[in-house]
Amino acid sequence: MFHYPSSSSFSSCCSFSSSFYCPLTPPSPFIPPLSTPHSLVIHLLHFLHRLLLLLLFFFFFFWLFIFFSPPDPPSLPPPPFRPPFPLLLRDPLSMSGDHIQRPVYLALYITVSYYLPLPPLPFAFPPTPLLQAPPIPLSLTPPNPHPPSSHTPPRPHLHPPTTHPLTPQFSSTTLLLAPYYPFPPPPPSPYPFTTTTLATLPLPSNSSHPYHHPSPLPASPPNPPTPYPSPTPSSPPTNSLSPPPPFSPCPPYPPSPPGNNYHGRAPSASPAQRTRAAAEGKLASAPASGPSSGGRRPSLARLWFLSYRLQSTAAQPAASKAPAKERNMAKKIEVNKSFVMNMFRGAAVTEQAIPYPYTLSEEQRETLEMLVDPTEKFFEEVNDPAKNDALEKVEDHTLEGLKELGAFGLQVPAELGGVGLTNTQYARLVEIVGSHDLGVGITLGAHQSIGFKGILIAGNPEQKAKYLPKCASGETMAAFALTEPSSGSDAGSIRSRAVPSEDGSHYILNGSKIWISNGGLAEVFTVFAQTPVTDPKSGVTKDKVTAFIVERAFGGVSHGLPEKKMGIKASNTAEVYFEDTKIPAENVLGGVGNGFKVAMEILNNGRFGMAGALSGTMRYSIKKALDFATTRIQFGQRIDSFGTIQEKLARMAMLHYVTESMAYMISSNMDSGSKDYHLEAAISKVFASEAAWTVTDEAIQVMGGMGFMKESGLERVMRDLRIFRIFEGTNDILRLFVALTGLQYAGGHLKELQKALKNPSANMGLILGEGTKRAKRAIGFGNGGPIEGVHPNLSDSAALLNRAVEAFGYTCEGMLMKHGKDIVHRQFLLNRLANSAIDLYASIVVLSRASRSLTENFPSAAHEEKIARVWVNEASDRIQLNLTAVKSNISQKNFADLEAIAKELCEHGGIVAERPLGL
Amino acid sequence: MSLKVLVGVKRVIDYAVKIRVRPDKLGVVTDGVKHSMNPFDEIAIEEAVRLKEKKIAKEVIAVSCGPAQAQETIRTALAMGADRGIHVEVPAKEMEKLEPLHVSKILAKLVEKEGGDLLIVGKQAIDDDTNATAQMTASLLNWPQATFASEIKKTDGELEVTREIDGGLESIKVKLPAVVSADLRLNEPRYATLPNIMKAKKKKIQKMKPGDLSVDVTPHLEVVEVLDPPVREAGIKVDDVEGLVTKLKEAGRI
Repeated sequence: MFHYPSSSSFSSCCSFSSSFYCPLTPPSPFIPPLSTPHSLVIHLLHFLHRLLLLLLFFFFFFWLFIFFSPPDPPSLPPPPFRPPFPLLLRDPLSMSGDHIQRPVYLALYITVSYYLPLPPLPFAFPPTPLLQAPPIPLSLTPPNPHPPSSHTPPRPHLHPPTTHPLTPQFSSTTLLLAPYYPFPPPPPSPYPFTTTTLATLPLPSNSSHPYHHPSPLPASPPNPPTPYPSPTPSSPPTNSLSPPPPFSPCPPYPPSPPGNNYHGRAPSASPAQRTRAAAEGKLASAPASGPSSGGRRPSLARLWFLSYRLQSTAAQPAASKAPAKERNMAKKIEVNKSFVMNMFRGAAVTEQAIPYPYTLSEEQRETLEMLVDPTEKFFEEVNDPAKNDALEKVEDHTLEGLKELGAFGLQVPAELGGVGLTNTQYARLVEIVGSHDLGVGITLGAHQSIGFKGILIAGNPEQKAKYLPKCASGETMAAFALTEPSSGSDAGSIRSRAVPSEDGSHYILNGSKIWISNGGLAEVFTVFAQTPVTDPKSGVTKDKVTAFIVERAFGGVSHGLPEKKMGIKASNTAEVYFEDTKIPAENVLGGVGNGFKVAMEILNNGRFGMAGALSGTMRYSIKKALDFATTRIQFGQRIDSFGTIQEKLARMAMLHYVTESMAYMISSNMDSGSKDYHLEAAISKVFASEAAWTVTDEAIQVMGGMGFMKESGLERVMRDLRIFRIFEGTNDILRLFVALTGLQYAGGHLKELQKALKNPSANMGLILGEGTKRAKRAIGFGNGGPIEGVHPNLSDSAALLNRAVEAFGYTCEGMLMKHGKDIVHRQFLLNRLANSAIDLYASIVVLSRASRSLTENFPSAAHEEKIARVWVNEASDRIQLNLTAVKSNISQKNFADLEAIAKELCEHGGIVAERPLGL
Repeated sequence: MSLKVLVGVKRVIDYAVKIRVRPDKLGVVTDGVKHSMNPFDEIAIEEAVRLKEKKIAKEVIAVSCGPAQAQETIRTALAMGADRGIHVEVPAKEMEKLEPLHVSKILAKLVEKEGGDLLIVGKQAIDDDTNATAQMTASLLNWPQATFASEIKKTDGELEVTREIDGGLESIKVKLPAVVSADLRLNEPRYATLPNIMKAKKKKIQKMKPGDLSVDVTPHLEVVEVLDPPVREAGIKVDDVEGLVTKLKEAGRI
């Protein structure tokens, strides 16, 4: 029905609308009568002129509409708001229909109000009969567990919209204003990451999840105020931004009502039906009778949407709600310099990304240079990875050598006996470790990257002085004990419990931990356990996670046999049991009740190291493949002359380039004091672990049968690499973390706008800026311009990336608007957002590094330029694919089907389909 | 009596690097090539540090002649346990033409200046393989020399040194002060540990120029040409013994 604007549909829609408005508009001296073709043209121009004028106000009114909704009543779940959008616009590329472009509403409203005596817009929104909404079509959402109570604003009923017979013209107008996707159609592209998702990933249910406050740890405050009040009915969130914390406890995802597709949207009329309905002109009179009404009209739906917003604002019980609202709004949006964070709101904030950060001082560089050689020498001459793997332990003399080398305390300050490396220096050294022996890497990493990292970043001076010197020298080994048999990804659900003694001098710890790296060797453990914490305000005592430093010598600490594993066999992994272990109170790490935050801080802080180590591994694998490809002769030629092999080698190099660039960009940002690196670090872990897997897999493929042999030294690496996609936060959980944290940040900014709109005169700059952005986007002139600081040779790639960032932010905004806090459950969609985020970050990193190489005329600059160009081109294709999948109907149907397939499998307990043989 | 030990350390192209001749055929490519401490000098430093650990030596001073990067080599020596360093700066261009005699003169002057009791150097550097510095320095100082040492023992005012000679070992006694050159089997040098490298950054390196020691480094030798070792030419296969004999005769071998 409504096709993308072509010249014919354009002119027809204009004549259509003009013929409608004439009788209703006050006579204008500028409008000639509609009699001649000439006057028709003038008429058209006039209409266009007005439209353009309207655009000027577009942004302003739009935001008034969209964001003047009241905060949710604290004791009630959010209104199950689902505007029943029927198909209005066809996404020209994705075939998606339900994809509503929101700026359209404003354009519509302005257009309509210009020609119709609609109520004036600014600031006062009395519910008018004209703008009353139909009853919420409940079947569109998961069933609302709480029926609306008496103080819920009553939802008005829709009057038959006979009062405005011009509704069809709205749709016509939207055709002019509809934004379109700024990319060419995607070719199928090989993607190193799987885009399939785990449908049943559990989310941490702990309400004090620190993910949404990546702030530095306080130095163990006495009775620290709970930073993240649990949004339970008894304690309504007073300071949480809306949308709520992504990991807030949510009712289990309800089973979809029959007929619901993935989005919980009711089956709506087919495009054909709607076309027919529109053509028959039924739109003007038929009341919207229900969710499945085939005759629901676009215009009605949109009016409904507008009126819903207006209605809810007007019906707000101002007296009781206003203070809370003000408090909400008073909370300042955190300024975050993270590129990833900001791209969720469609902004390319390149402060931390461009120019490629280089934080080593001349002295630090020299020091590093001196450290690299001895470390490399040690791993080449002393360490034997194959032997470590066969023995399933690091050889004794190697372990001793590592301790002497100082490898156990790389980041411990020199005055405490360590080497005192910066993050960048550390990354360079673990790159050496990663390229030689990941088993040793885990032994070292479990010790210092997580084992005693907590003491380093959250410990008080006494704790540091007591533990760090021995840990740094390797005299005592450390381990990080979080995972339990019943608590994996859902780390907040641990059951180990530490109860304070009567006199408060110590805690008694009981519990068991599994899969603890160095569990059988460590003398010092960073243990996480539940402790009873009393809220000073409410007086309610609840269990909260607290981190402890536990020495084996405290008693009651035992461990199981070393686990038999697939890879990283050299690293010791064991169960650790605590039985009435008496922990002195001064061994609480980072404050009572702050354990979760400490744990996340430790893990976030260490992730860049994994990217560093794995870029070393990839270097090794690529070298092996190159050595083989450049000497192996088949069909009378060296195999590196074949395109198949060339593509493999080139892609391996690209993945390595991205990983390495990420690792050092993040480490440099951390070194320059940034706290806004958590999403980047998570992305680097996900990317590095998957890229290293792909690269090593392809290296084996290049080497063919030789690669499969132990002798070639890749088989062990492959096994060792597998765990990297699982531990320290599975890649699946990290993807959700990235997507949800980013969305939450974007949501916070939308709220800021909403706040600004409350006082438009004082915030005109902000409003105008945002409005202009959206208006431009709505008419298809996004700022696909260059990114400042990118080398001119790569300006095309930069423009591509800029457009992709904008499209990404736009999609995120759309998802927030559409799903609200329910987005937490849309893992099919979140994973696609996360994959796009990963591709976007990888692209900026690559552009940044290649630009630096070009600017500084590195010998490899031309090579890097090619890598960057190919990477960004292909990444933007993938991003488009993923963003389209978030919106398109076909994808939604696929997701619903996938969900159903998985459910059927689980119900059946095996493969459902019969064998084709029938036996 | 505690000794003051000076050790000569040279920065050379790393032993694992494949050497390439420069296009002008007057030297080898050094730009962008990994350098490290001459392995025999590592052994010398290790021996000096061990003497210090046995309380035989009271101070170990690492000395190097070379361009600015020679400091890295001195730092490595300091990280291994030397107490301080002396860097005699010779620009890279001049370094190519620096001869063992120049180095010997510099070392001799420094030993006199510092009042050293023992000079240990590697038996030769792996770049030019001259194996001359120890001998020349001993001569300039008029000290006894114990070259190619594979074992050093201190007795009263004397060193008992086991030397590696063709066909066996030779034990000699030298009076102190003396010059010793280290052979391969003297010891196994330790790894510079990372914390020690950090500590080494705080140790002092004294900088000077050959002129400060009034040593003239005008070259006495001229490099005419540097060539790769000739590539072995391909052989041929002969069908039988007769053919072989014929070919050998043609080649004038029999």
